[in-house]
Amino acid sequence: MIWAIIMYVTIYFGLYTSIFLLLTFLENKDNIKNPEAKKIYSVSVIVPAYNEAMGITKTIESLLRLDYPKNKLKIIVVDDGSKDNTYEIAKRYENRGVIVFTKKNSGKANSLNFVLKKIDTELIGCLDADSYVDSGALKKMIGYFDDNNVMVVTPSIKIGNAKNILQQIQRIEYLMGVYLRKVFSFLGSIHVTPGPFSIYRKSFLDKYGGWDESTLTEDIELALRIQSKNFILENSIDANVYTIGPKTFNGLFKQRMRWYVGFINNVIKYKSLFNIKYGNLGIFILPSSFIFVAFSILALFYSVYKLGINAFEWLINVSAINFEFNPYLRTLSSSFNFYMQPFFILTLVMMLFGAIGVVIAKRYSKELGNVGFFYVIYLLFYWLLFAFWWFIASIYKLFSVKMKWGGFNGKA
Amino acid sequence: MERREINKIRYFVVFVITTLVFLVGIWVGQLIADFRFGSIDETQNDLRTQTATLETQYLLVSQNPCILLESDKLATELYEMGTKLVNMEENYGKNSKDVKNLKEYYSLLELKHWLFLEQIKGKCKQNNFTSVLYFYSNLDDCEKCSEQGYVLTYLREKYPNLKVYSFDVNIENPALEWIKDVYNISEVPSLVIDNIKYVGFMDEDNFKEFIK
Repeated sequence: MIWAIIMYVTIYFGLYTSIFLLLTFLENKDNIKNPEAKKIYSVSVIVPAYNEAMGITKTIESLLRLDYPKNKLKIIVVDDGSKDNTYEIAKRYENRGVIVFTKKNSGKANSLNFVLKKIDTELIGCLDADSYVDSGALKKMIGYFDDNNVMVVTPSIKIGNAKNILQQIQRIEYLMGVYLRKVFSFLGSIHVTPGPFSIYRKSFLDKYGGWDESTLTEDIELALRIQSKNFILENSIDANVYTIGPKTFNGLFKQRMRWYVGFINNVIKYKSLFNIKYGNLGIFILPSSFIFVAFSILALFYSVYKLGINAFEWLINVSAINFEFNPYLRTLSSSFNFYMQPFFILTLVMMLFGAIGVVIAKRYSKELGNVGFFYVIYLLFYWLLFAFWWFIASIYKLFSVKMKWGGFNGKA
Repeated sequence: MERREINKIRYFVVFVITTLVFLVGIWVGQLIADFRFGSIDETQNDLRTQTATLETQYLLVSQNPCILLESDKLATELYEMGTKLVNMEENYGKNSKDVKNLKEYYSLLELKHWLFLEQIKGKCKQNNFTSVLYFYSNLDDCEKCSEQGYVLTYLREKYPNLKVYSFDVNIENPALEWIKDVYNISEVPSLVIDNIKYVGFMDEDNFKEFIK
């Protein structure tokens, strides 16, 4: 009974959130067009690279193809003490105007700050060496900076070259992220500026400090810092950036541990954002992301528990009839438990709202390729992964708090 | 700043829409459940008609009881009714008053069927059946009952000559009290196989020796 109540509260909350987001989108969809820039801003794009010999060519090539006046665009590669020939590969592009630095290994945030001190462009962004960008992306983004309060513009991040099922699930996840980020921008509630190709106003970094070198996720820290100073974070939904999603379960797991533990740490750091003076972000968007995590972990526990009990009972039962199922198959059809019937209907409705989000993202960001089949796969498995990652990340977090003096090194 | 504004109307409108969607969802879910099982009223009516039919058939059978053994039509109907009740119990809960009433009625029918069989024992040509009275409780006081139920359902499917009648000991009815007294049932699960009482759980291997 208590579980039934929890399940229905979860579903009500999920429905509320999805309807809220959809309604916000529909009310604002006429504002989705990128504003035309009144001037051409000078931009630096930094490519921090540590052992990226494999991917960096594609990254640099995509930047060189950007549709943007060459005299206003600086492409800067920082080799962060790679052990492979990343530096040599980058060097080859110097004759095409790419600036290349090399230094001792010191981490991504430090590499970005290293460049920040050396340049004087109005805008600055970075592009990881596992990502590449559409040629039109930058032009679509800069118009937002005509508003002096806009400190960052985020692009639409997508999974490029998805091959296996795990990458296809991430592809749908990222499309959902494209939709969410746009709606969050309407609500003044963007709280993650993804690493690849978010473009910042340099004066903000100069005034309020550069990238935070002490955190696992400098991009989340920076987004929350901009929010806490009451500036605007924008999103250009059709400025497409592609990144390669981890191929293996293990690789993906490591990535998520870094993201989620980093997210928890930074939200704790900026807990003052949970306040009505930060509007929708403070009273709804941030709290609901934590409520969702809590609910999905509960749902995970419930399913595992239920499955375990059922499997155990079933084993006991079939052992009493010497594992002979044949006569039983005839009675199987009537043995389903329909107690939770309305719950399934409501879950389907919520999935429908999710699907609408993915379709919106696909349409407005001009994503090609089919999503229908993988959306179903995503629905079946993603919440399990999501709950599992968050559960382990919470454990990591609790563990690291107790072991603080032991030197928790979360670098994954 | 404009973006920090909280659009209270939107929060309220969404609340109204969500509540509507939620209630409609529950209503549709219930409709589907009713469609599958029939609503509780319909099922009750169905079962009443079926019971009346069975009763009439028993009257007819009493003219020539051996029919009971030659055709298992009555037993099949009784069995189907039992399955329906199990579904209803799952759908509407153990404590539903309607379900309890129906179960009581069903138990009496089972008892009647069993009494007929006992009467004609030895009087008909075909005589190779085993009758089992199964006393259970679906409250938390019987750990082994769901397992015993599982085994008996299985055995009934496997051996057509096994006649199983199950009685919930928590049903208060004088006729059921009487049969409990006759066999002195004080524990669950208890089985009465061809008039001999056995207390405790029995798996297929224990059971095999009783099956004719």
